[in-house]
Amino acid sequence: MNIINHGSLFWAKKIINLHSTSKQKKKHIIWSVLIVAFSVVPLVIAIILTNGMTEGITEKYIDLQSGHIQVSIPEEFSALDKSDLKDQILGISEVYSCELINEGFGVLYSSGGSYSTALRGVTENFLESEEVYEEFTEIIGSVNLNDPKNLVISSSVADILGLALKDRVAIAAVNNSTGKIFFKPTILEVSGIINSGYRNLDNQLVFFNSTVASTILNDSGRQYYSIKITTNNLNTVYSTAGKIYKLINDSSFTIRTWDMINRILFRNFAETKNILYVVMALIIMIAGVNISSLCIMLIQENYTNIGIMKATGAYSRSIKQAFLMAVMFISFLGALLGVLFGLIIGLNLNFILSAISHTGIAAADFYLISIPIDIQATQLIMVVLFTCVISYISIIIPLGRLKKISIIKILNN
Amino acid sequence: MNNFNEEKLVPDLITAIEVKNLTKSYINGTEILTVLNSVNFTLMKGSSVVIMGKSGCGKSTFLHMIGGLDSADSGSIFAADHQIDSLNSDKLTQFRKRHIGFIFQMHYLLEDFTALENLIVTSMINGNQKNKAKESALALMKDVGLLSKINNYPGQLSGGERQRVAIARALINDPDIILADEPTGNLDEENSRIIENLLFGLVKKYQKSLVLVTHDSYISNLAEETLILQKGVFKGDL
Repeated sequence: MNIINHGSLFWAKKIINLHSTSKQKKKHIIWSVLIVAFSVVPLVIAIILTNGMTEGITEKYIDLQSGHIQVSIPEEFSALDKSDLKDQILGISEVYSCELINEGFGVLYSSGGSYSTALRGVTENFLESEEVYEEFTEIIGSVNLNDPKNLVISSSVADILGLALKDRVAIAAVNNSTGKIFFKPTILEVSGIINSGYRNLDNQLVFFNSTVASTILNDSGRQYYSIKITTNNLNTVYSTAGKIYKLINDSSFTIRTWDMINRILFRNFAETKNILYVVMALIIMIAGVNISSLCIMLIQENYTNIGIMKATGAYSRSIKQAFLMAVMFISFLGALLGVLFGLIIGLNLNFILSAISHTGIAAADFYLISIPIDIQATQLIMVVLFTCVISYISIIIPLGRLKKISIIKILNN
Repeated sequence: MNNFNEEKLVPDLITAIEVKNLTKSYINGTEILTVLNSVNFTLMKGSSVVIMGKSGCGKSTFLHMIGGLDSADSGSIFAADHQIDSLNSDKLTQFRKRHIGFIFQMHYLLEDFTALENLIVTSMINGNQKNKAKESALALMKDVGLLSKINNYPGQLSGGERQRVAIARALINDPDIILADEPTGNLDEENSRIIENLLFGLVKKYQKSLVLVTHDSYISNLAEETLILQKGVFKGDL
């Protein structure tokens, strides 16, 4: 037994054939396709935007801040041992970089004011390494930290403190456990101003030489290896972390992966993403109302035809199938068009967001200046399927009325 | 024409339609209008009958009940070996699909379909493959003399031509019984004669049973029997 009645399909084609139809019906069909398309566009853009944001921000946080894996080093661990352990970690096949980082919390003082933030002491070439360097959208001056007096800050920190290249900054550390400030300020000179393209991250970007850091952050900071591996895939990250754990085999070391370090941040991302998807899905549901009214109109327009078909022996389910196929085709076409429009806008998102950021809208600060365009076919297929499911649900009631159409009433009229 | 009180030894083999004590009433305000009052009726396979009567006397209602479109208050209807008053909605549809071909006063062709497509879709929606449907449709279009107009839409056909397509459509599923409800009611005399002759010719050619309701007394000359429905009962041959 055929699942699709070919006669129903034949009829469905005629129902939506724009060449042999009334002007009103033609208008209604075209509008329905466009309404579905326009309701799908925001969801597609939201998907591309959130995918790109998540991927871009994750990438930046990993490359500029957390690394894939952090191994916190106990204070008593000697410098010689640190060097030896770094070599052993680099020996793990998935690991491609292992940086020793001194991190603490401190206050920056300038003639323009003060600002408390995370301070990071890194090796002199850290900011010049390929994966870090490519995360900067703008670099003024040099990011090399070979001179112990050099300080690299983000443009947003520079804005807050009113700093420019060659300006001098005093840094004082804050004790992590007590929160007290150690007033042994060190004077550094702004040698580079960077921009990561993400304001929230930029607010935390202050780098200087690790030798200076060990002096400034002595007692108040912590030392850790920031390890980067060849992929962001969490399974590989976990398995590599497991290998490092086995290698170190010492409970005084703490090993954390990037998803653990940035848990709150990514949970916020996930929640925002879900809320956005729900709102966009609601828009599609509203479009479902229009699909429902289209279905009612098509049935009304074919009222007599339906009765005659019934009289000639067509089952209600075959007639229902004809209208179902016609309306589903309209929804499917609308969804495809919506995905297409969404993709066109999505592919130009960076241009659009750049234009928005020039308008001075504050919300633009929360976006990346340049979003990696990440289009996942499965998500787009899900959007089309979701739209079709919504359309199907919205026409269940109108289609149910087909069975109640009375042949006798039609003939008597 | 036989009344039902005559016993038949093997009714299934020779009877196309058998109606027993069929009653149908309508409520008109406070008044109950009985249009069919314990009617009995029998039609042999391959024969034709014309039912005449005044407007509103119940001719169409009788036809609709035989075709399973309307239900009776009481009585039973046997058609094409089915007791149709006991069939559920799906079975009634199946019954109409296999055994009944309708022709109405209005052609009721699908306006978005060409003449040929009107036949094809009727056949296909009843489960036939397109090739088979097209083959049968072309043969019938030839029978009704409209092979040259198979690609015309109903709007591009004359009233008589539309009704000829409607006749072809009634035959497309190869039914046993054709039920025609005033098929020439909207046509001029010349076209009426053409349609009547065509219909009776095809019914004979394909050995169908025909029940035709009309006001046109000329048709009674073509039918094997004619009945007059009056005050809810058949009054017998003209």
